[in-house]
Amino acid sequence: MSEASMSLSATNSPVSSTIGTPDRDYEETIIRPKQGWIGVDWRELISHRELLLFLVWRDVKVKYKQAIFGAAWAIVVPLVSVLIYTIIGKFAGFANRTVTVNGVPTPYPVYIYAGLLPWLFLQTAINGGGLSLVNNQPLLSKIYLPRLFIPTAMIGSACVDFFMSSIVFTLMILYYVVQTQGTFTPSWQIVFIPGLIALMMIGALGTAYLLSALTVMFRDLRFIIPFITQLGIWLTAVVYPQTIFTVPQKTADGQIVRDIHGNAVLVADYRDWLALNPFAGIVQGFRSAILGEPWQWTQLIGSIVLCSLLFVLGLFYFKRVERRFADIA
Amino acid sequence: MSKPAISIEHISKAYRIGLAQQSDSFASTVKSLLKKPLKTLRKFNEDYSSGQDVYWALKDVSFEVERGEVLGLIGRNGAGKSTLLKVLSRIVEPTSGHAIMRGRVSSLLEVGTGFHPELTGRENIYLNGAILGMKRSEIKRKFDQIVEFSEVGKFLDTPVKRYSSGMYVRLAFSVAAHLEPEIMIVDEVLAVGDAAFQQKCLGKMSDVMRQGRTIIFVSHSMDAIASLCSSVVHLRKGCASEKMSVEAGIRSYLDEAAAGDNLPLSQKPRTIQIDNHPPVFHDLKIRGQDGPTVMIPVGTRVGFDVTLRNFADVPGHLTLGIGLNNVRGQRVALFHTEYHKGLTFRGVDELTLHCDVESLPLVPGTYTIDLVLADGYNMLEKVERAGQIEVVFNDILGTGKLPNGKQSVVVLPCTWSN
Repeated sequence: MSEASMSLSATNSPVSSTIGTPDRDYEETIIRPKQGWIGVDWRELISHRELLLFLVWRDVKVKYKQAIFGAAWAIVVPLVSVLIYTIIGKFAGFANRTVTVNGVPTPYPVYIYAGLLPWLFLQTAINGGGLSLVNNQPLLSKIYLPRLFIPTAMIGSACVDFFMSSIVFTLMILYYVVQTQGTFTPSWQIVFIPGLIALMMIGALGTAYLLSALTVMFRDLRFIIPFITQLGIWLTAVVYPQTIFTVPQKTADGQIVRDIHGNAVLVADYRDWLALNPFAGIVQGFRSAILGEPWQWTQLIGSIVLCSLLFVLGLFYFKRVERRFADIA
Repeated sequence: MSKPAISIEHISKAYRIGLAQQSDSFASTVKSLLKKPLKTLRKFNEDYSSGQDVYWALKDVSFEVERGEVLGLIGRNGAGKSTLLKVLSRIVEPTSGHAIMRGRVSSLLEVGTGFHPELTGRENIYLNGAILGMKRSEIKRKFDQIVEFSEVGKFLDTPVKRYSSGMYVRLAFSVAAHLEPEIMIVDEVLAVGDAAFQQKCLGKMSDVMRQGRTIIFVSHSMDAIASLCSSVVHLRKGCASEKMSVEAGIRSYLDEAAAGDNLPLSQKPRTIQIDNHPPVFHDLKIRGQDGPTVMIPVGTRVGFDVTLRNFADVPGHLTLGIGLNNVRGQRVALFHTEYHKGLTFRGVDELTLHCDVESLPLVPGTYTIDLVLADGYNMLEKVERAGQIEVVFNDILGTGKLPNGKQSVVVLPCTWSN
């Protein structure tokens, strides 16, 4: 029962010695139909890791090559998005419903950016990851390579954008710290960010595996996926505060009753329903970690469970249909 | 006794025909998932090798390739050559049977797989090298060689979308040519670039072969097969022949080609024909020095018997031309009634014209035959590839050597002195 890998460097000795040396150990690749659910050949992935880096590098390079602004877009896109959603928030009245931390309201652009930072990454995973296989058809039909790398590389290039965007966000936070003369500061909970990033990666990879394989099998998804992300930004409560899913207590004359920290006293709270969305816990988690809002534990646990499921399901579905990619693509 | 480098045992590959092979429609799947959930889910797991609308691209193919052997895979379009290469390259999975590859495999089914038009030549060398399975250090080491071989040095930092197609192909092939696998699977990628570069590629290929690499090589050029391969397998509608000598393989291939386009001459497509008139060319027979054959040794007799029918109503002084074209599509000989005999003829119900060529001094290779019926300067009916002959080696110069198709068109005896 072998899924031999194609190039284990151990046997890669000079070719001239192959003539007339019958007993040399050649690595054996056995080609046979595979049945049922197929495991992941981790050894093969590791031995081909350079290829993954090349594919990431290609995606990054190609993305910004033709644009006049080039890589500046990695910064401009989140900034403009923040600007747009800040304006929408001011007009729609979301802006004054943010959670107040220690009596200090979070500057609304920072609040929006804290949610957009993970969301823009997840959006690339859904859009780009989903189309990654159908857009790289020659890599499926003309050559063999570990196909898991194709959606993985798309996530890899999204990481580069995420990194640049994080730097911009850091600068923005610094600006507001200075501007508010230190009344607004990021929370100590920011130390939990690496864990949230890990969770975000797992969710993104799972989504990319699942959607890329499904898109090969069902081309209709090409048209459906853009709607998923357009709807997703609202369903995941990225660009408005989650407090709109709560009902504040009001006085007889319509004033919101506030506690000593300046936060509304709630008569009903429907936020836990967001736990059904695998990404809501991640987006809210980023806000809690960076801005110091209270953790939404139900959502966070929901994200951990659903993202893990998504990853396992995505991986196994991908492996399951991988053997038919070249026949279909 | 060492194990063969490649053992192929009972490999078969089925494709579902028609719509079913394309990706299933989302709507239909959702519908059937709602209607009969269990059955649909089971269908996902079903092995679709049974059933009627199935096309067997490969049927029970078995053979072995020894280490250091260069095996030519020949067959007509649709015979399953490319499918077999894809199975051996692990791109598609066989439906049944198995194959064992012993050694590091590289496959080259297309030049420039993964090339990105926006990236520069330099960047694409690295990317393509990695996709073909080279390590970064390996590409770095061979980088200069690759650039030199490709002759695109000046444009290394230009995006390849600005390359001419020739430059593109040269760069792509150069990367591939510097792979060092133990087993190499090559589709007809040599048919790229201009003649000079093709020559260079063939040279590189034979270098590779001298290094003891095991190679499976697909080509429609019998010339390339003859000059590169040590044995041949002939695929016919998915079935593989025994492994044969190159000579026997080419003969078997040409016999098949002669037996069909499977169409008799009267039904072959016409490049030109008389309006509202049934075809005139009815039959073409080829004779060698010992009777009917398609194998003509260099410098020996060949005859063509052309039968024309149902053209009593075609007016004018008619002429017949028999043209021979080499594999590059170059016209190398014309036998014409008017030029050779001052002969014209009138339309009748049936007429067979015999053309005898005392000696055919063409270099070895495959030649296709064109037939042209004309009236003065007007072509009335023309059939391209009405038949073909294979000119085979014959030691007419007495040295055991002959110029090949890349070096010359004809073989003319001469004397040397000093």
